[in-house]
Amino acid sequence: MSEAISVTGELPARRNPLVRFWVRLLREQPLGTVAAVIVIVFVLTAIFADALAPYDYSIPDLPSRLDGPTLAHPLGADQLGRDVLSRVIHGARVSLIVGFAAASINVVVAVIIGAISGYFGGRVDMIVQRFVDGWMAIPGLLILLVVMSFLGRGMLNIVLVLGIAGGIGGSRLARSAVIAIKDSLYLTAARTVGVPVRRILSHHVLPNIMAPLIILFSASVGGNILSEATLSFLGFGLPPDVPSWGGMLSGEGRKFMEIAPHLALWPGLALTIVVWGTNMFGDSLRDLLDPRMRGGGGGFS
Amino acid sequence: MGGYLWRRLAYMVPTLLVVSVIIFSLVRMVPGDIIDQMVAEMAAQPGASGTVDRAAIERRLGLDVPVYVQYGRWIAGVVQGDLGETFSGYGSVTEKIFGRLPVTFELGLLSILIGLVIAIPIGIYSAIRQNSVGDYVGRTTAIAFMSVPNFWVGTMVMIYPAVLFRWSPPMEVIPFFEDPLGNLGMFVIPSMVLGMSLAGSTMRMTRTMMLEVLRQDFIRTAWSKGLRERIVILRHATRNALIPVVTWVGFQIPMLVGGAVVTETIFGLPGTGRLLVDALSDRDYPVVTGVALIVAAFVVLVNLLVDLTYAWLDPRARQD
Amino acid sequence: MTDSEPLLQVTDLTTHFFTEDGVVRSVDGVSFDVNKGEVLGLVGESGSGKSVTALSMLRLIPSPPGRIVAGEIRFDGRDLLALTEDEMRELRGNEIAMIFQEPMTSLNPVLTIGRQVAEPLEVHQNLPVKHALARAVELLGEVNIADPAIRAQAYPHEFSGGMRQRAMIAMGMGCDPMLMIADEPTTALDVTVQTQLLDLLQDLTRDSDMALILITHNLGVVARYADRVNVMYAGKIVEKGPADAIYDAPRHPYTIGLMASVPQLDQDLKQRLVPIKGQPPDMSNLPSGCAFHPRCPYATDQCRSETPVLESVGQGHEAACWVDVRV
Repeated sequence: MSEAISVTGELPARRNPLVRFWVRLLREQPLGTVAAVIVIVFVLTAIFADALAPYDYSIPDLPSRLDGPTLAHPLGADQLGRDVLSRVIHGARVSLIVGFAAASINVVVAVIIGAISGYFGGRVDMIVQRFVDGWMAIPGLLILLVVMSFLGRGMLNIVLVLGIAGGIGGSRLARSAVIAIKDSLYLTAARTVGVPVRRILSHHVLPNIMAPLIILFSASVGGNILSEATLSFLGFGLPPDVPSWGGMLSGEGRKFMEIAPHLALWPGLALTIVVWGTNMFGDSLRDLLDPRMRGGGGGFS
Repeated sequence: MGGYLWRRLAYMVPTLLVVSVIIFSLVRMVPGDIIDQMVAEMAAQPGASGTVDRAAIERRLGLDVPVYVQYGRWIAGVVQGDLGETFSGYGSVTEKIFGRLPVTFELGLLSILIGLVIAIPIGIYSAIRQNSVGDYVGRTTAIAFMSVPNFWVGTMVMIYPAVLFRWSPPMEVIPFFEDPLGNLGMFVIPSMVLGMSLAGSTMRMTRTMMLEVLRQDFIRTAWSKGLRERIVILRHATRNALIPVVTWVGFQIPMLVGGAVVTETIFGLPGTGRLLVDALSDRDYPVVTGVALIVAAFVVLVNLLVDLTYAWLDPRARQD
Repeated sequence: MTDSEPLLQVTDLTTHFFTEDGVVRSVDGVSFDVNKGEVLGLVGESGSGKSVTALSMLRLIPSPPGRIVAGEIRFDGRDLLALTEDEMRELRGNEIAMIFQEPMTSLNPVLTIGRQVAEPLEVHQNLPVKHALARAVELLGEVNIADPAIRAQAYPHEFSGGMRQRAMIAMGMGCDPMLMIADEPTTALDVTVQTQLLDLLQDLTRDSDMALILITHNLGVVARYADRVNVMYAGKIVEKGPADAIYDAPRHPYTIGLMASVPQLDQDLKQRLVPIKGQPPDMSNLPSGCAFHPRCPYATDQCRSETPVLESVGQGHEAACWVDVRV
């Protein structure tokens, strides 16, 4: 489709790319827009948790132990009388921190490994890829369990572990992106002129692999949140006093869940909605950034 | 085809070696000395007599030699089928693990089967009726399946029927050969819980691959020959689309391992996953290492099988 | 239907594509005939609408975004546009067959060649699989594929490009179609193979009294093999007539331009090739009046404002041009 080029050779003006993105999202991806809303609500809840939560999440209220939904405790109270609503709201903050921090580390680690492997190629690449292959053969949860079991529970530990472990997996994506542009003309040009490798990597390679990286980041957030929840559920993630959604479903409270099922309902529901939202948003992002997937199917005239 | 097989087997070996090194190192990274811990625990026991012979413990557990020797001994043992002794009770790690494998294996197999039986037809339907109501429902369900944490579903499945109908899933293992139906009845619900996420992602994968294939020229050729829709879809489109789907499912199997850990814990199934969690809590490192190694080896084997299946399914891949 | 009536009569065929960027009028009021046993050449550059015309014959236009908006396609006395989908299905691969440009991607990679050639026979002639496969082997022999019995069990990727195209022809000939549409059958092949393949098509046509619509952008091909020629530009037929007339006395400036841009064997070496100036038109945003006027050296004001219609310029020879251009 050729655009009309006026006699003086001007190109049509471009609107702000950020605005265009949101417009496209709204028009083409209705589900993605819903997901984006969920993500925004999630982030805001996490940031303003202190203001939003009616109670301090750690204060027990023994007389109200295991109450179902009441006016005082809209989502009920747990086995120590702590307000479930407040814990769920603060759980958003926990998930947000873990999810985003770990995803950031994912991307950094993936880029470092992938870029080194892809850019230098040859023996370096072969050795690194063998290691990555071996690593990927070991199921993720296994590694996480083993490492967390002796590092001990804690926020910093889990963020680091999720970040590094996931980053190794993501390095393949970064590597293929780097390889795809490695032999581009402009890189060869830069090298010929004598631009140092470090600068080539940061100024030329990095900006051009932004799209797959953004997709990697958005896809990792949901996975990290889920992994932390699973680990906390099994008792290897965050300590029990921290209001992690996964932890709220775990061992301690489980004895009481048969008489107080609301304890299981709300944290799990929150998890589901947030993970769905981040995954779906990541999906829509990928659809928007990757034009190949349009069309197909339908009938004939 | 034969040469391909040998080459793939040969490639497996270095991968397995790397895997074993990773696992061995991870577990050895325990901060603080496990011996100190054990000594402290033993000394704290009532009726302990005097000081504990630390050196004897070290010798017993094989920790008195340098790390690489430990690794060498371990690998030598592994190759002969001996995974060492457990720290608790000095039983055979190998026996312990293999005693639990059938449960995990059955759980995994059933979840894959159930997942595929549900996911593939829906994925195909979603693709041929793209953007229809059915398609949207299918896609939303698929993503819901993938987003719902399996431990939550498992927990809810355990709790709510108990609360509402006073019913619980059966908790004892009924061996398959004694009572197949009873055995399957035990595994059905946990398998469905475990297979949910796989079903969801397979549904989407199938849909994507079908859409991709339906855009191909040879589909147009099939239509131009006057073939009926059923034949075009089933014989021409599906056969092509399922090839990448099958291989992709194969590579998803490792993820099931993580899910199995959770599912076995929730439903109280005596499988390898629960063994791992218990061993971690008990700090029984030989068991941990053993389970990790077996599982990883299994994954590598599955990858090999997937590659071979791919070559079998796709005539273009059978170059020698 | 008598022998003197054309086998295929297309009247005012209009096929549009409704896209985000606008309506693309790929085929805009096209009318032509094809007689039994005749080879009709359909010439034009990419985007001229020739492939869409062909797909419209079989009603294989992907919908959305395309749609046959108007017109009539009379084949063997019936209006194809009025048929139900089931009735069309019986026609496809049976009375009307089609072969496509890219033989590698047009064949199913996971089915054997024999199977694919046999399929139309199973469906339209109700042959059991074994008989259909046996007949498929015969057909492969008829298109000059050596060792057809062995070859029939091979997969498309094991064939060369020329052989695949022969297999496609065999697939099309299976049910003795009255009309075959060949959409750029040789474009993706080597020059030497092209001639072999076209000769084969010509022989098959002569032997069976089958009509052939040969779609191509290659004038040399059309010159050698076609009885009559339609020249298409921007969705319309701009010139039609007997092959000789088109060659010896082209009347539309586009046709003339095409001739001048193709090297001739007997041409003076010093004579330069003259390309047609300008760009192919943007099909969603066509110029007013005659779509060719921006590129036409003879354009007048009338050309810029009024769309020309086909008018007779000789025996069975028509051109759509306001200007009387003679070479």
